Amino acid sequence: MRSKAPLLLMEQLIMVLVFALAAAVCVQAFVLSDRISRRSAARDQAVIAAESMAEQWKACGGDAAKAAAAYGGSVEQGLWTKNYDGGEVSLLGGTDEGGLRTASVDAVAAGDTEAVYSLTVACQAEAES
Amino acid sequence: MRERRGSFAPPAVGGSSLLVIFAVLCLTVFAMLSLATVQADRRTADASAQAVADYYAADAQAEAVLARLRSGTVPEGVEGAGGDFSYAVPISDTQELQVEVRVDGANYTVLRWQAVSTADWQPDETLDVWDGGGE
Amino acid sequence: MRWGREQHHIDGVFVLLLFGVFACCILLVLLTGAGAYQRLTERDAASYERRTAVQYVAAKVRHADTAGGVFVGDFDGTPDSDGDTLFLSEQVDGATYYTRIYWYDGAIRELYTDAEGQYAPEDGDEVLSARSLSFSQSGSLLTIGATDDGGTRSTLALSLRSGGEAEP
Repeated sequence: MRSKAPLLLMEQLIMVLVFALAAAVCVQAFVLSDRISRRSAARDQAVIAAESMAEQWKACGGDAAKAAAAYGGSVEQGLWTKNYDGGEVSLLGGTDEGGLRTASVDAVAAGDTEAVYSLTVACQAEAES
Repeated sequence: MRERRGSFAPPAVGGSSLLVIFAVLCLTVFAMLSLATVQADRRTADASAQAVADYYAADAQAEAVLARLRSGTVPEGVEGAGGDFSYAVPISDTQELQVEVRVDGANYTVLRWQAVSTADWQPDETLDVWDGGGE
Repeated sequence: MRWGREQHHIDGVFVLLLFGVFACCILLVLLTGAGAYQRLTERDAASYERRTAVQYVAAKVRHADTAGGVFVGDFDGTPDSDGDTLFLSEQVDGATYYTRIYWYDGAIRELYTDAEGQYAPEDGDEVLSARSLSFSQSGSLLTIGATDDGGTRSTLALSLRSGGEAEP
């Protein structure tokens, strides 16, 4: 008669609720960690892709069409676009000014619209006479 | 007495509390560890990305100076004359980009485009190392 | 009376069963948490290796970019545009010193020595463990390819600024 069953049941019920609460909080932490980790990995790849593109552009003397022909990707109205494992990287050349040609490189991860990483590069252009 | 005979000896009161406390502790430790590991890695990734951005900023500045040299003007901070010039652009607190270039009108030859560390380097002289001298 | 006792009996069993189910659920959640943590650390470690191998070589090259100072060749020094060793040369007090960066026996290694003299790949200091490292140079563009322990390959292109004469 003095069974402990209802007491134990009560206790278990309360513990289930406590555990559910704690688990919910911890799962949030895991999800956040996962998101940060993914974003960091995506950015690492974007940095390498953007760097390579910038260097290839410089090696071709700032000629995007020549660079695209040699290293892949497509050029359209001065915008050189290339795919990399994780997204797309593009280089947009600005106007020459005082013998200096500048361009901006943007790496966009697959499924995003905002650039994950951007660089500004410059190289020598034909001198103005 | 009745309980002893008939009951199945269900877990004592507090058994499930103990289990849940242990489980919550474990989960919390895992969650904290995950966050800590991920934050640490993100910091190094941030530093790496920042270093790359710093280098390109300095690189662009150095190219701008070179363009000015090619057009004939010698910007402030550039040493040398008669075609051979050298200058330095800071990359960060501890690095700078040192450039040596030979300019001939609009043509140019880069002799050096080198990132150099400018951090103070303290040699460790706590050990008395043999310097090769005889007597 | 007997029924009364069985009621206790059944209550006890029921609670025990519930406790067992509860314990299993908790165990499941803990295992999932541990699995998630493991996946996270593995991804971070892989990301670190992938990024560091290539950025380390890039940093070394940028610290040594002088005219004729960077070239690719075989370990013994013969230039070869598809060699397996990167040479960074510098002049110190009139003597030439080479920093060789190459892969040997599971790791990317670095060896700083004078230009003359015979050295073996084992002499280098281990920098980072990797599956392979390759270089290729065409004109002023140096391409670095590294495969990390997980098998992922990263490629970085570097344009050597020095020695670039240009008549625009």
